Amino acid sequence: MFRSKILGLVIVISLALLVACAAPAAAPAAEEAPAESEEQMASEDGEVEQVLIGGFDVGPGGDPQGVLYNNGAGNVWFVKIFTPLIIMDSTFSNHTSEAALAVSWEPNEDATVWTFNLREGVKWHDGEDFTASDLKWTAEFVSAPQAAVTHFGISQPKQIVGWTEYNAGEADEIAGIRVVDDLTLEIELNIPNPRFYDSVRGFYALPEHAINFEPTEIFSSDWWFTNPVGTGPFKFDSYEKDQFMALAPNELYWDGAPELDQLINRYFVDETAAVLALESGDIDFTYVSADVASRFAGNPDYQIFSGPSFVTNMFNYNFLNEPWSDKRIRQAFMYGIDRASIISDVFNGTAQATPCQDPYPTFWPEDANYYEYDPAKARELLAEAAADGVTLEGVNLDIPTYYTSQLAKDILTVMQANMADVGVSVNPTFLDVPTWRTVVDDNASEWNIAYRGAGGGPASYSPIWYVADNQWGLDDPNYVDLFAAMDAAQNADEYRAARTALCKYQNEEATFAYWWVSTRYGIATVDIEDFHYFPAPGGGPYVDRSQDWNMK
Amino acid sequence: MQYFLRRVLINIPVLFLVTLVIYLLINLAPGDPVDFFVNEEIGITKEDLDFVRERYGLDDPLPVRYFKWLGQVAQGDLGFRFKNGDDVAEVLAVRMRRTFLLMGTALAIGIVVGITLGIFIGLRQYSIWDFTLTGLSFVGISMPAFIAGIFGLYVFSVKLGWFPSGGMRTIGKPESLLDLLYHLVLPAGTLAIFNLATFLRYTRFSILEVRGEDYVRTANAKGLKPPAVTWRHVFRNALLPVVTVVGLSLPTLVAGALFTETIYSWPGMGALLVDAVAARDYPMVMGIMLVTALVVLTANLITDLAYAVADPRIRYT
Repeated sequence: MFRSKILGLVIVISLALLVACAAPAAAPAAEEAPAESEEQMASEDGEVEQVLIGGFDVGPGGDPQGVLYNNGAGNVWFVKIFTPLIIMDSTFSNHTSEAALAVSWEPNEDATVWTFNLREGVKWHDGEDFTASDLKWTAEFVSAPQAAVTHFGISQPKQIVGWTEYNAGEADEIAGIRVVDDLTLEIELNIPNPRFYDSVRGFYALPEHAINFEPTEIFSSDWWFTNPVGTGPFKFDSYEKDQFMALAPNELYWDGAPELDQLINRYFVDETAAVLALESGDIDFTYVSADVASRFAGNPDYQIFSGPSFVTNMFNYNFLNEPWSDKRIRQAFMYGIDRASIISDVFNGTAQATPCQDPYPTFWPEDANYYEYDPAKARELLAEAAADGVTLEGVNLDIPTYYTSQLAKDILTVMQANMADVGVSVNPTFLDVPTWRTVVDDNASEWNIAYRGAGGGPASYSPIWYVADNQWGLDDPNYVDLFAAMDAAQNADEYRAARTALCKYQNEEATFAYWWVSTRYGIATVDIEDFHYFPAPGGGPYVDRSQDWNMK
Repeated sequence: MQYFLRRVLINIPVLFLVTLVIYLLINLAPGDPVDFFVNEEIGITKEDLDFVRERYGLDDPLPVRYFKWLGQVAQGDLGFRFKNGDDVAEVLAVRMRRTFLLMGTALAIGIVVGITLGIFIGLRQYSIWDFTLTGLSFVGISMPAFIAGIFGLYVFSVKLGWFPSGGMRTIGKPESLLDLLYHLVLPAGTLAIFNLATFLRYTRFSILEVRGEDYVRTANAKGLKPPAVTWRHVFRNALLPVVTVVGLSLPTLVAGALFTETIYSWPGMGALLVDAVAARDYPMVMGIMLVTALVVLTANLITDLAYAVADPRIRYT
């Protein structure tokens, strides 16, 4: 009898626990976001509400449930709430920056002082006026010594006068950022940079008056998820951790209130779940990989958005080890791998061969060598090098990569087979990002080839891979000159010529093995009108005119 | 009671050892949280990374970091996530609640339906029911969770549109128990298939074994009615191995199910652990492991105590 009672008690407790878990949780203080009731959601004039639900964080440009100023991704979503100083055009095709918070910008004569003229009439979501002071405050807030922000929007902050001192805690302000008046911001650089504007595309403004946390709490503050205040077309509506964030139209938006009544970002752990949600009609948009996009092609119920990733996939060689300083060895890889077949058969044509590290075709020389597949030539180059005592014998030819998709595995398997045909045995290893970084960054002498991606802006090109102190021991004075020529360019034509020359040199030298820029995709239902998506690196930011989006 | 207290005391050093081993293992894994933060496609210098490591205290020696963590835990503080600054204890509370609901429902369905059907076919060996349900249970056990998940989602959500494609609630509608249960059907059903098949097979086997015992023959010979033989003699004795299997399943109530949670966008413990390990989020990994170890130890204790409930001959001193 006693045992029966215990058994019964266990069953009752178990059921009670299950019921308790099923009961809707009382929102903790941090999550007391005002989720509107159904009645509130119905519009007052009785019209059907326009709600767009998307997987805006899915894919390589997304930063799932991230906050601004974290790792450079997630701009597709951030730009709905916050606004950057300037913004990239809608498809990156013109490589031009367009007005956002700034309506115009110009450098002084030697491009050491940049003046940004700000837009009139911009208001924060809470009705306060946006001014130049907000921008200076934001720069100092995210650059504070305790903030530990790895990516804060200005891609070359050390060029700004006083930034380094401020970031090190040796100054009270960034001296080089000056508020001239409410609508004018001045940034002084310690070197001339005629293309500095390209460095501030991710520089979003934060509201000094509405931020109630310290720089040390940038990543831990609930503010981003409970009451973020921006100047973007949409304002915060509600949030449920791990599930979604909903935005409402910003009636104060300078370009007119959005047509949608609600814009919702639903969170997914992986792409397959997002695609199935799209197919079941639960969401209206998501990023998809190339193989999935081909499944939707021709389906009248969906619209496909595509564009180059502007990330060059390449082999990084380690010049700290012997064989890689020999150009013949490097070129043998270019000739030995059937790039054209990989693009046509593995990518199904959804990638473009690149002659150099630069992902922007504008800077590709017309007479570039695309190293057509020629295994005989590869064998010949290897034999020539071997005759001079340079050989791959005994060299560790693991190819660590942080790309772990099936597509990446297929690509590297083909490369492995191609190289085996020319007598070189390579071994791809698929690692998560922290492991990859440990292998490549912390064990400089132990690796030889790494498969990776490299991005960059159309008006800025970081020299850290090619000039002084690069971690793979590349020491070629020509690169110093080529980068110096780019820095010295005073106008767009000079810059294009200098950057093209750099590309040409990379191509001839095959310094690294530059393979391709792949195409990325987004799929939306045809129910969304005037929608725009571009698979920009890190999600942009780019002009998407989300204020015009509407549901049929 | 003395036995119970002794077991609880023994579990304390076991728990300490588990945390030590896990802490060593996760720190032996290459990379650290800073390596995860940085977008590899954006150029960043080693000096910048070292600066961030110093800010997070990741430059301290491993023993120092472990004992700092242990000191915090001793004060009831599991710390904060490196990835996003969330309070580890709060995250665990929310995620465990979701996982318990999902796994508990699946386990409850598995126990009730699986054991019932196991008894049913155990008493009808070699019948059409026996062949059919045993065959189906093979399928249930053999089918990988991600296949069952995608199949269920594709058929019942994409094609038939009967159930939502994932998540825990209908976005845009107020939270309600009915809506939650509606979202629970597919993921819990998917997980229940495996549980159901497992319990069905164990129960059937156990019933068949007990039915051949001498004391059952004796009970029949002395003229007891068949239902009395079945419930008093067969079922009680057949229950012991089943209790063991149920006990072994209890840790899944908090550990979660990675594939099912992922495919159904059910934000539970399974997905959280993978996310934490991938991000080298040491405080989160340690928090999950600590809770899981606690549950495993507790489940073992409960299972042992359950034996005594199921079998009057078992006594602990």
